[in-house]
Amino acid sequence: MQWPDLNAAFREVPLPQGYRYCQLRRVDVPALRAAIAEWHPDVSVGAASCYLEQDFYETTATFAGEAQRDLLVVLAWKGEELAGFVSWDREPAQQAVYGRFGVVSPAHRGAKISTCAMQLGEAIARAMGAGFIYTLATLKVASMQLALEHAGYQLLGIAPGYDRERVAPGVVKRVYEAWYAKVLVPESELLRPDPAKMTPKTRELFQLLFPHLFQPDEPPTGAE
Amino acid sequence: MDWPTAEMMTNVCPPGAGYRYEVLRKESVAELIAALRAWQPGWRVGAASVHLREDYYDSSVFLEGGPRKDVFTMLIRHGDELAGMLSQERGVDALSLYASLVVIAPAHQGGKALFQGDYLEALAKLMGLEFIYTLVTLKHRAAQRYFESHGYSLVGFMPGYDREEVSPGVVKRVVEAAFVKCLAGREALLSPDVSNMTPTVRRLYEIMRTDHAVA
Repeated sequence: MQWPDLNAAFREVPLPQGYRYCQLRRVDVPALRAAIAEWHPDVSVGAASCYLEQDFYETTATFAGEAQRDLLVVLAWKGEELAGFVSWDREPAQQAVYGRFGVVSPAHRGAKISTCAMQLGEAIARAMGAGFIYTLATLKVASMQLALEHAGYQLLGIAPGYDRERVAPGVVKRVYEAWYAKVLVPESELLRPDPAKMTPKTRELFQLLFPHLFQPDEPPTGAE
Repeated sequence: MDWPTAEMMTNVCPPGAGYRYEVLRKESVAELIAALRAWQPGWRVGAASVHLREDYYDSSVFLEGGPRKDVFTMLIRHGDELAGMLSQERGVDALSLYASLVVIAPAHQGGKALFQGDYLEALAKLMGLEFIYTLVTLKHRAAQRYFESHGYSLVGFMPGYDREEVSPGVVKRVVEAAFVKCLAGREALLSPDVSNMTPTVRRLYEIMRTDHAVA
């Protein structure tokens, strides 16, 4: 599963007037690391803390014009000012794309860059043949949840304590995150689970979240 | 945060009588792949299929005596016979443990190879990890029951994330259930403020709170 031609995706999902996309280049890494530290200091610990390290990009990221790796990073610029970034992991075995981490500069929040980033991820995933795109959203603010819902992603669950963040100077806590996804294949390519193969708890939550997929083929009290 | 030895795991979570742990070694990789092919012939696609590729073990899996890697595979043997395997991935920065795969040989199914207690929790605690998560098949109830009975919370689903060969030559995306266990105390969790949730998230959060899946 190869990252596709990004220019086609950039054209498909244009940023608001005055902004432009650019794939990460080696020369951009120091500025990106400094920007993340300034915009979102809470990620000095936790799963995204690797984005503050030069070595992370050297070993993991796909740089513009260089060999493909599993992480793709796209920057959003306004003139010469870095306004935000978004990144995805490809997962070839699942033919899936994971929206791993992104931040919009406080000076550019409200410009709908986040919603564009969600739509761009979907365009890239479709272009590379992925059937599923997913991401996690913080519950500390509603903006990411809103951007995902506006971009048509479905809420799949809430993970209590999934990640760690600095919540005050010197104070680190485990935080809740909601996860969202979009299935990119026709419903006929999805195997509907048999409610009879679910425990009562599983059946109850599944029916609540996915009533359109809950079609018992046999009475839910059936034997295993 | 090194992976434990087989002896350390035996001390905290012994396997069933007659069984023993063995941390995967380079020389056992071919044997493991052959066994997985025999036990699970449908694994030509999807997340589990990586375990059939030798290069996956070279690039991603900690092999006893080798360099640190984020994926750990423990074999279960009965005498010299391979009876099962457990594979996990650590998230070093999130202090998390993802249980990616458990397979028990058909001849050893029925619980006799299984350890007393919670292997994943014992492993996480040895390594100072605080959060365990896994995706569970909806093809049968056994795994759901296992995690429910070991104190894990059902927190959602992944409809279409993974792929399986559901019949010869027919590949479909499947639905899996997400179970988690947070080992950190309640005081270590930042309780979310419902005013920072969309109505959709708030509705699910309230339901999960009623069901004690979240604090």
